Amino acid sequence: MKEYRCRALYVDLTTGKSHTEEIADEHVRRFLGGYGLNARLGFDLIEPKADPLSEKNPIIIGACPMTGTALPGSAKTSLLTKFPLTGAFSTGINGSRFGLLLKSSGYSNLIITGKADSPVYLKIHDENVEIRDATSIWRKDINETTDDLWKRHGSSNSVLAIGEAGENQVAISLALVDKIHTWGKGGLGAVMGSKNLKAVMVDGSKGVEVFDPKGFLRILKEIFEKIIKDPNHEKLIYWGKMGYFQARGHELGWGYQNSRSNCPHEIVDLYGANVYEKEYKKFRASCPSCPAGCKDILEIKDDSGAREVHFSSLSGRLNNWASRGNLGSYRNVLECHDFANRNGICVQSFTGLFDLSVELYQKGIITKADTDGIELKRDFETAMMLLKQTAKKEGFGAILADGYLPLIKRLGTQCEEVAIHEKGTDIQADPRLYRLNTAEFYTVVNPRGSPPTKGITESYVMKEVPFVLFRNWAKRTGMRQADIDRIFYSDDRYHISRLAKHAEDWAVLRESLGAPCMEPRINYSYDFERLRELLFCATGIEMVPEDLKAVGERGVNMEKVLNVMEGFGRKDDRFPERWFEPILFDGEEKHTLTYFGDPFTKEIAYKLLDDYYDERGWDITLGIPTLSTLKRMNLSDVAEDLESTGIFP
Amino acid sequence: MKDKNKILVDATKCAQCLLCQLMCSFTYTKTFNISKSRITIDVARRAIGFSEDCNNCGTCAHYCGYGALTMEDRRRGETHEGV
Repeated sequence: MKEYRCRALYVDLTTGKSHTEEIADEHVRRFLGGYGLNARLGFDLIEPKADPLSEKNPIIIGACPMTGTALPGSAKTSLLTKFPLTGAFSTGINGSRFGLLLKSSGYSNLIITGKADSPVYLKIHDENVEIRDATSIWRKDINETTDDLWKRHGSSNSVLAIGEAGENQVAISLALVDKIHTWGKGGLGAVMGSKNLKAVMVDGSKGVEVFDPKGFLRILKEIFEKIIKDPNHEKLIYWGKMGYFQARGHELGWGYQNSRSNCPHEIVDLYGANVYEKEYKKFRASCPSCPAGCKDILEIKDDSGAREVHFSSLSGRLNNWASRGNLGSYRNVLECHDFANRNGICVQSFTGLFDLSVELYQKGIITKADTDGIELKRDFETAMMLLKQTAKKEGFGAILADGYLPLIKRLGTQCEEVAIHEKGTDIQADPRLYRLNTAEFYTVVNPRGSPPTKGITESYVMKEVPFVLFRNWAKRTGMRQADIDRIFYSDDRYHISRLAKHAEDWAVLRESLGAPCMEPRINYSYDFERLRELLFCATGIEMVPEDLKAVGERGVNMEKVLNVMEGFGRKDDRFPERWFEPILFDGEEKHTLTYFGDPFTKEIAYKLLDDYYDERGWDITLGIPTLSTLKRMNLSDVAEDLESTGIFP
Repeated sequence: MKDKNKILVDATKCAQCLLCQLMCSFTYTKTFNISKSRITIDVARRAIGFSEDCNNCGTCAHYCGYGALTMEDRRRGETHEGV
């Protein structure tokens, strides 16, 4: 194998031209791929404060050194853009054939800029890059679009497509790859729609080489064998994420009625594993390269025949529909979910806004004058009506389509007090139910607002975790002993937000290398030393531990720079007011506690933020990197460009 | 359903993870390249097939974690000599 190189394909939809560039070695060595490299490439392209729905907002897709191999979890590919829901640059991950085939075409990155004059789709096959007319598939739903393109070009192509919601530039839209793998919560659909870009299709024939095939295969086999030989493997494959769905709903609870209480147990059971198995379970689906797949294809049967409904995360979406929508039956959930998928509406965002809107209506903060005469209630008919309006950006759906921030701006404090959001995104982890630990804290500093995943250390939500396992996690992920000793300040406590910083760095390192999957069986397959060895076997790049450790932190700082230039800082890393109010759990009030059982107060909240910024070496008052931190992170090229802006201390 | 000599195929169990294709191509070309694989996965029709070049080595079955491909007469753990 020749020396490891990364090649970017640039497609300008305005001019209709494309070209390729080899990415500078200094960028590859500092960022490796995926998350961090996307942010560095974005730094050279973006115009600060540009409208996310303008031609000035690029879409930057980045695969990683491991992408395209058979390494479990390696299919995840990162996408950076400015998302209209939040106004922030952030990264969405997708596990599908798209990244695999992009690498197989010879590209590590795909960068789409500009705007086409009329609907188009992009077709990539090795050196052949075409921008083709999409008039005949504009207004087709995502499934129809994908089937149409497969019929024309073959199903060896991976198809990233948007639906009507994206075409209408709905901020809570997203895209799907190959009809099942979601991408771009926060408005990727709208960004593509604003460019008249209906779909991107990729196939490749070059394949992916590795530097040391024998070494790579040895590690791959170790990981694979451990997953397969798990005595519960067949059971886990059979049940996927439904294995723990009911337990989580009963023991921990889900926020119900705009997170005023936990979801009643009888509603949890309405969507239980037995119903799933007997009535709707059809096929298991997975990301490429993963032997522990957790995605689902369900089937609805009625007089018109059988229809498949696809779930990237069944338990998560059932939770959303059940606890926020109260739709009444599993079948109703599938109908709503299918509509959302086909039209490219983000289920998390829609259900969060729907849930909020009903409370606003009940309180009289919005009335029928705002809802075009619709009485807002949590039921199937209302949800389906609003889904249809949202896709078309009509009626009250037009308000839902724009997301939390315009709604709060319009209605003011009375809405802000009721809404549970972070930077305009609905929140998935409620610390009143789960306690506030690293993942819940991470939600507050996440540029995307949600999900909390990058803050996960040991999987602490469903079970009591022996404290030693958190220390083991710290060692396993390459934290320096001096940092471990400082952050784990007693035998049974650590500084939550300082540890969250290291969790985030570890997650971004993995998103830059190509092993970011957080599903436990894949997550636990990787430790720091194994990643270092895999990097060498895949690319021939040898890195001392300190240098590899820095890659994750550098990526975090690089993406943060983009958002600081947009005006984001400490003022935007806010704890939702509702976290300081109780939730009713089976009739009793539950207040937020820290993971260690301390009552969560505003004083503690502010201290957590101070600690996080300090751990990062950022300015504590502003909540942003300093120029000296950027230089310490080997980002002097970036720091020099920024000095004249006067923004960075 | 027997689709290739002794490789038993049950497409209803296929999760379309493509590990069979990736490992087949890696075995014979030392590159991960699903277009060069001797086993084909049609994601649209959910169909599994084999090219004429397939020599029944069983690598695909070894790396199938879903039971879609199994070897009729070989226990899990044994693979083609080249892997």
